[in-house]
Amino acid sequence: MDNVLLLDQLPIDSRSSLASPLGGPGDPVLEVRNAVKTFGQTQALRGASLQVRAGEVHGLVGANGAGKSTLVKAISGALRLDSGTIGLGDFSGPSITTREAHAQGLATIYQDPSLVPTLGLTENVMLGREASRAGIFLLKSRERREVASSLVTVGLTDRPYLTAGELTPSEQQLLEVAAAIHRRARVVIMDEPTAAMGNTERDRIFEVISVLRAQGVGILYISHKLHEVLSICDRITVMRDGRDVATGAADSLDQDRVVRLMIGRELKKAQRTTRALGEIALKVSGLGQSQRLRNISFDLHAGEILGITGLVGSGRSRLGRTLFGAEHFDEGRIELFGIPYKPSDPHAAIAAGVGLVPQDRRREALLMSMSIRDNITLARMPMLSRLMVNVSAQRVAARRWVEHLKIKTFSIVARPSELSGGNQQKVSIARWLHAKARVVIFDEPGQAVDVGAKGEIFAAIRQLADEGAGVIVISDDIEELQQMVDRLLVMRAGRITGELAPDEITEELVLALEMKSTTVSTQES
Amino acid sequence: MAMATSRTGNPVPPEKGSLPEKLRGAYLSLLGMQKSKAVLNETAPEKPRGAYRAFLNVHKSKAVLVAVLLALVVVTSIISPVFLTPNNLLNILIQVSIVGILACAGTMVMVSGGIDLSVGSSMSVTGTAMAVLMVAGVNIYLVMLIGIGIATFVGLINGVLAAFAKTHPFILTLGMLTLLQGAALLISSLPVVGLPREFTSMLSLRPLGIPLLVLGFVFVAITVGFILTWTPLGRRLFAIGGSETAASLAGIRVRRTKIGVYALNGMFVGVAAILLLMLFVSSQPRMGAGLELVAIAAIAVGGTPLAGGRGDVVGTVLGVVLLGMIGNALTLMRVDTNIQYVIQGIVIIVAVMAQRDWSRSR
Repeated sequence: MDNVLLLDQLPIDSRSSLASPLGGPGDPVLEVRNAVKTFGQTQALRGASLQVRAGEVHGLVGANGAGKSTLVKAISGALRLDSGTIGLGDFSGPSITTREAHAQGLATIYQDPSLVPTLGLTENVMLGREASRAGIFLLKSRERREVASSLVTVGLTDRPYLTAGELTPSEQQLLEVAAAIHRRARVVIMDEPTAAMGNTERDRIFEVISVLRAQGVGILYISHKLHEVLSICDRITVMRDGRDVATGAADSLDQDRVVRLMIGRELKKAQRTTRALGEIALKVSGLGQSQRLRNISFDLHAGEILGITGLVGSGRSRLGRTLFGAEHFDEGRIELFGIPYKPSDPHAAIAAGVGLVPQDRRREALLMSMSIRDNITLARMPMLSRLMVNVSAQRVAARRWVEHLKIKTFSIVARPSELSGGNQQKVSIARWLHAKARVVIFDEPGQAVDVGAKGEIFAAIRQLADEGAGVIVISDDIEELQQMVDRLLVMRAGRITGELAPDEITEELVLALEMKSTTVSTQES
Repeated sequence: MAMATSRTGNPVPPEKGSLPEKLRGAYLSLLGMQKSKAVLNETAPEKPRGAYRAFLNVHKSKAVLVAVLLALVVVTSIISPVFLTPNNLLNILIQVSIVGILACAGTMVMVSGGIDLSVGSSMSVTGTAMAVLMVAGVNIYLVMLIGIGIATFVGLINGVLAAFAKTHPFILTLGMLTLLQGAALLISSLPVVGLPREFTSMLSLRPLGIPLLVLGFVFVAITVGFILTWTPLGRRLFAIGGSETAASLAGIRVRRTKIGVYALNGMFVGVAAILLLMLFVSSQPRMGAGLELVAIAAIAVGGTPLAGGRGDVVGTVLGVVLLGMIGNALTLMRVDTNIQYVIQGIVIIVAVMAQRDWSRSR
């Protein structure tokens, strides 16, 4: 930091010579040219180029499979390019090792923080660069002193016995940034840093990014959240099919253009046509759960997509889980197609024809170690007898759904982890279609998937509704809700505070409803 | 802190609204809905209460161990007046010292997420080989060095296997256990007798007034304790045990470190083998068999999880002493040997379960 302040006070012409260890402002600190990488049959990179300058926040966007992560892996030394050059600091060549990349001042902050959960904050920052006397005796108090300022920059404080594993995911991200700062990294790659962040933490990380930028660090910022990329980046590179299709100043781009560049065509928005509603699929009246859900009443019709939104802690996800029997209610009643419905557990809910696609697809919705076939038929397994699974019927059913929903996979025995986010979501939809679910609840269906996949997912959800299911979509992405739902319920502090028609959904109105009452009542969490 | 999310058992989903963030943040804090993160220093200053609680949590498991030990001492000394005599206590230490050395050295391996099941057989091989050499008239000091060399080499092989094979070291070193047992029998399937008195009489040495066996245990315990808490190597072992990926991304040479820790473990096994040979006076081809399991039990009782990333030598020493004391106390109470096994087994199970619960509540 001191360096930068000093530089600013110097006359311009002497800067370049002095600034060389940091890279002068505007000088490229990272340069990739014509990167090519092939994995078996698929060409992940077909001549991608990228340049990040000192003191610049450079956005890297692209649909899933565009080659962003392959490129990042090549830069950070996790894999070797087939051809092309990587220029990083003093290094220039077709492939760099992790150590060399480290030595040249590169820090990569992955989406899943790579920290040692059982070590303390300071220990994690110092990992691999321990301060010691003669390599034998650790200087722990010196380490703590040294690291403290980097921790303060990101807003963390070390405490005795606090381990990295106890931090929230966003605090862990911040800790990694602190490590990068401490290491005086000259290039920092951030892969979806805000994916698991609330507003405070996000603001915090943006502040930290601007501090880094002011220090002349080059930042490569990868995200699916286009509005974020557009607002914090100086320049943006768009990737598609393993190539960089455009690089330009963020000011000269807008969301629509970026999306067009990313997918190479106009974004297909889910068509919403007014339809006659079917019978009432789910009738909820006066539902309550101690202090968390209060007097919730609504009807859901067959063929309808009902949106539910609210702030974190408003009870929207809890409502979804309650309808699915994962949580119990103690007041009110629910009717499912006219029949009283009080599921004791998810098993009972599934038997009654209610399905839930949880928010965390990887952990809760799909079994990553099982085949797509098994995942699809999990909730209703075709049986030969009480004890034997009818594998051929399973296969037939799985093939039918893969074809029906146009799930892109090479085989029904592939693992869901080999599919794109959108196709994974389709597999969980197929599971409920197969289980003949009549009411399906989606918790944040569009989260952490790219724009292209989002469109596919919405289309699949629409299809589910068109086939006569009642669909509930829990989300806080207003745009997503505008596109998708037939009706929107807004929740606050466990109550429904408003109902909006699709054309009434605006951010201002939704926020107003989310904040409706000014009395602060017991919060959910 | 992190608890803000996990108290309800469900993670708070990330906020994604596209409104001007500042505005929304302001609204939220106005309503007091902002999640306060104790660690974020702007929202809450460091609270000593948290540190105090963390301290308690970390040391709770050890406090439990100490409490159990004390209870055992009190109960046994009431029943048997011999128990609390200095002689008997020293006896206990002498009895546990060889297992103690194995356990302390093994703690390093377990902290790094590994395990070495072959240490018992390694002692058998080393002991037998040393006995054969000594009987053949080789200088005993040279033989001891060779012994340490053999055990270190065995450890090195284990380390290479653990570092490069994509299989859990449990299975690898289990194979090594069988292999080494065979090797010991090949060297000499019969006891080797007639070791030089110069060697066997060393056991009665009392440098600093401490029996040689106990001194060996104390030396290894302190050395390993120092390595784990005060050296970069120790920190790297914790890192590898906590997350191998994170460790290697931080530039730690994971393989090299693993090979090193197994070799170091082997070196201490060599020391233990020398002491064991002195104790046995003659070599037995199965002299070390089964000791590795006692050592691992002691490590687990002492609070080092099998998965690694946590643990320390103090816990291991407490575990070793606890197991030794139970055996001693039961003998003094004239409990049948067969029943002693049952009771010791129960103690191990209960102690390890207690450890797990503490560490989970953290």
